[in-house]
Amino acid sequence: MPIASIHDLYRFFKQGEERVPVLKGITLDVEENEFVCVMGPSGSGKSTLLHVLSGLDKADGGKTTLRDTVLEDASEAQRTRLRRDTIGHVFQFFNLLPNLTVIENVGVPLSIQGRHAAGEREKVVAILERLGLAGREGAFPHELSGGEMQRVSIARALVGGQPLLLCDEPTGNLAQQAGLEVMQLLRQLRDEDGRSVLLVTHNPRDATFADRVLFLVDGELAEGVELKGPGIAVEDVHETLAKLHI
Amino acid sequence: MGLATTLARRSLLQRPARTLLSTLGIAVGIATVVAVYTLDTNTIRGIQERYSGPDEADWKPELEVSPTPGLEDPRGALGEIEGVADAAAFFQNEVEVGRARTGDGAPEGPSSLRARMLAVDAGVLPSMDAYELLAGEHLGVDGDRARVLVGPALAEALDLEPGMPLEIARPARAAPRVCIDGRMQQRPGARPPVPPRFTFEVAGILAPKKLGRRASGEIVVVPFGWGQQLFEGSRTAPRFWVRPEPVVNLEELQARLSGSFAYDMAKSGITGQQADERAYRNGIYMAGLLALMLGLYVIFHTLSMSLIERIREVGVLHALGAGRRQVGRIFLLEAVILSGMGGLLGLGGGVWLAKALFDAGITTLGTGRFLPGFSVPLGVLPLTAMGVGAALLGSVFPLLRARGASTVEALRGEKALETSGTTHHFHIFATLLIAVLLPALYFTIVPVVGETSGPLVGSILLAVGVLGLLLAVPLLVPSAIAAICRLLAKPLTRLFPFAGSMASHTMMANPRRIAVSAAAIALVCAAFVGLKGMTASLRGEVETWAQESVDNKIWVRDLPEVEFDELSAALHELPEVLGVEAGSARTYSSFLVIGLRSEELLRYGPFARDPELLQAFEEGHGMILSERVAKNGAFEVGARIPVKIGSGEVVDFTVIAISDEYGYFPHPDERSYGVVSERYMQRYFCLDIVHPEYVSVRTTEDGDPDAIEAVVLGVLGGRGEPNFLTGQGLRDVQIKDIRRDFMLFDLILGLTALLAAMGVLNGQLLSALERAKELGVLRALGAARSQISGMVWLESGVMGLFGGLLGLGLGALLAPIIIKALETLSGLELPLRGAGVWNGITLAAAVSVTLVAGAYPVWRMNRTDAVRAIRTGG
Repeated sequence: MPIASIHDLYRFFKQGEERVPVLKGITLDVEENEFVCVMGPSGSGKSTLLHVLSGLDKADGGKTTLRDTVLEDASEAQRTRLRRDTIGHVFQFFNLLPNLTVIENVGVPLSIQGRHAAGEREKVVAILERLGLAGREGAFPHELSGGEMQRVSIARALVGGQPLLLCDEPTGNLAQQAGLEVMQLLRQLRDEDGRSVLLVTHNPRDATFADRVLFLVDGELAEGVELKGPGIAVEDVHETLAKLHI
Repeated sequence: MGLATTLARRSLLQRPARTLLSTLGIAVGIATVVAVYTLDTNTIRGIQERYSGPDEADWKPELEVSPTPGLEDPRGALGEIEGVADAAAFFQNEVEVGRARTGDGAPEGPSSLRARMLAVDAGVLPSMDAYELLAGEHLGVDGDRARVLVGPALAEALDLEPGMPLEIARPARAAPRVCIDGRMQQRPGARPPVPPRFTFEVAGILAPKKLGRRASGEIVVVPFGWGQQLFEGSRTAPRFWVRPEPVVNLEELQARLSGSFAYDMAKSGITGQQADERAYRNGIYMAGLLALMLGLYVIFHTLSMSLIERIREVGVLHALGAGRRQVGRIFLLEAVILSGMGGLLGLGGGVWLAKALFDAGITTLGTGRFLPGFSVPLGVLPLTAMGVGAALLGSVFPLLRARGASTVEALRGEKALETSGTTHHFHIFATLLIAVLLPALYFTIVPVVGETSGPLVGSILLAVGVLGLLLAVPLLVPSAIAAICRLLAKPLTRLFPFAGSMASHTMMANPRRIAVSAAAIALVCAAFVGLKGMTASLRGEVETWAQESVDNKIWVRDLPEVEFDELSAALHELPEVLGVEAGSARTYSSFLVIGLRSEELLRYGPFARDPELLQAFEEGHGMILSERVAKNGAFEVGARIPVKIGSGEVVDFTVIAISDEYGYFPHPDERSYGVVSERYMQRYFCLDIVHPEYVSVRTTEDGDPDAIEAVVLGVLGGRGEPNFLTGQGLRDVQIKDIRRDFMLFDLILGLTALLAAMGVLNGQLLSALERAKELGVLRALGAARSQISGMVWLESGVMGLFGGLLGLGLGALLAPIIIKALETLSGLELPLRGAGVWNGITLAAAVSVTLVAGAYPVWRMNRTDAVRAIRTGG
């Protein structure tokens, strides 16, 4: 049973009077404990796909199912609750709240869930230690490096125990080494914690960490083109991209 | 600590300058309206208390009128006069009262006492709020029953209680003598030899206040018809107590009454209701509203600038699973804290400011009035709530709008947000809130002073409209203002190429910030220039008036007993002396009436121009009215002026001329007066016209005050210590008074200037913080700190210059309209004057204030770590 399922998804954006299709008939499943990567160039609709799947954006056609709930049929409150309990977000630009410290930022989802962050401090600290952020609890976002900020963002995505991580270009703003560490961490979360990961990226190296790699070209998934892992070689990714003229 | 609390606390603490400025913006706005309202309430209460005393004094109606002779149905005539809510006929006389004898002998205590009887319309009396009851009940509506209210002293002396019988009779002895034809004499009329006694039932005992204090509490109040029966055969022409409508233009009511009635306004009842007082008080209330509007404008501008940042926070929280309510609660809490702190500070600060001004003798009816007591009126609470509520609405509205729809755009970045319409909607909302809802609420809580007549409503709508327009334009169409600022900056670009070009680009990139700051400055400048134009016009009015009534005059007061003829003869030996006016023969009827000797008035003024007026003045009950009383009462030459004379009767005078040249005396300063022949004052009021205590000497232009002083002192021969005041000295005092009286406006405008400066500072600061990354890049590219500072200074200076120029232009346009409205409201003839040198001062101040306001952002920018700014954008 997939944790997330998208069937024949359409999404249009308005540009002046014109309706421009961004996603055209996308069908995709993410199974429990699966790491799926969707690759595509900028503007191919990768982020829109994540926004629709998380219930932040609404599809113009098709069906999106998250843990047995069809998002198109759910109220906004239901979608919000589902997102809160099911999805952890990792953003390209981190999106940490600038006025909160590291530990407070990580504790935000707990507060949103109505759990007292103070009572769960040990859990938060443990996650921070696991992500190599021990000793940085009291720092504010502007005092962190890019890699540290993204790790805080991942810690925030993990703390609520959500089974599905939606990662939007998580290494896009990071240096080579920091990006590598983040990807290793995401893989570790799939392998050790049993989480599902849906990663959208245009970085071939990041795709090698996935169980399955799909390619999004002009709003459509390239038909019959899929790389399967684990152990996908970066050269294979490059070769596929070249074939698809990406 | 919950998420909402943590986020709110952190948001407030991490941006201390924004928190401080936002709180201060709300606080200063609220403090101003609270101070204005508290001060005005205490001013009116203090003056009323001074006139009437809190509890000790006898009660007086707001308006007492006497019908002119021959008016057949005075009650009906009053009923038809617009502005009259109720009228109660009354008359007073002395009576003998005593406990009624019962069948088994004489009552205990004294058999009879002399008391004051007040016969009054029993049905209308309770609505006059003229008395309170210690025991018992009112007389009842019909007044047919023989019932009576008894004063507390009389009740105690006769040991009376409600329900007991009381005998009342007309006294056997003669009534007090009154002034008739210049002599104190008994009123003619037959009197029955043995007055009949009537038995009344005591309905109630008066409390020892208001009417209960009249005649030291030895008073009986009987229904009007019973009073007439008691004094049957005597002349009992009624007078009337009039209760005006709650909001009525007193001048117009006076004008309407003057056709058929002589009237007397209680000073306590009309405090602050005279035309010029109304204009002044309404002006102060408008200035208070200006401050509140500007305060909220600053806050909303701040909110608008930090909207993108806040919306991104909303987006993140939403993406993390926060529901609408949770997001709303988070931002509501912050808004409540900000508004609440601002409200409390404003309330406390406003009350403190009002108390400080009150103690310093600065009131809403001018300065130099040291009034008793001070209390905080309850009305400050809804005023504060209104300010807090508006700030709260402004804080929460944009975030509520942004909670759901723009989450994806918020996560994408700023550009998407800019097109979302949220910012635009916010500005429309803010404009409606500030320019429409806030004034409407304000004038609901603080109603306009006086009748909401056409000119008054027109003036207020005009003022609010202009304020609203000035606030709305930059919020809704800011690019035009930014483009003009850019043009102004162009010449400076040659001098400072880097700072100039960067400032130009920044202004066009963020036109709303520039436009809002410039508009705030313009608003204050326009108000300031308008005010200075208004004071210049008032000064001009005084100067014009002074040419007629003050120049070439010397007043001598506190004279010891000296005969007027002797003094006048001595003074006329000086060739420059044209006439001597005696100011002691005066009485207050509907307005001040002064008796002057016509022989002294022949060489100047109306009699010099038209000697034929003299006969009407001396023999035809002629009256010369001052310009102000004529204008306020809409009296023209030929109008009849009923005057209640000493005997209680009413005599008609006829207006023969309107001029300020005769009869002005500065103690007390009263420009609403009429002049009649002194022989009428002697005849109708038995006033001493032989020994004046106060005179004025009119001279030619080359009159020498020292020579006049020498003559007066010579006549007195060392007796007494008279005071001398010259026309020039008086003119200086009057003009100084205008300046002093308008100090309160200056103070309020000072507060609004502070608010405007805060707006500029806040805008520049937020801009600096937003552009930290850009500034870091500029530093990395080699820009010196001074160049970056210069960019901000230049931008600030241009905003100040444009705001100042716009304000001057607007002020110049508005001044004639304000002056015209003031002229209509106050009844003054105001010449049109500009703000003169204040235009330059205002422009310089506008530029200086914006430059000073730019200092803190410059300091903050210079402290920014360029490396960190480039790396993190903050």
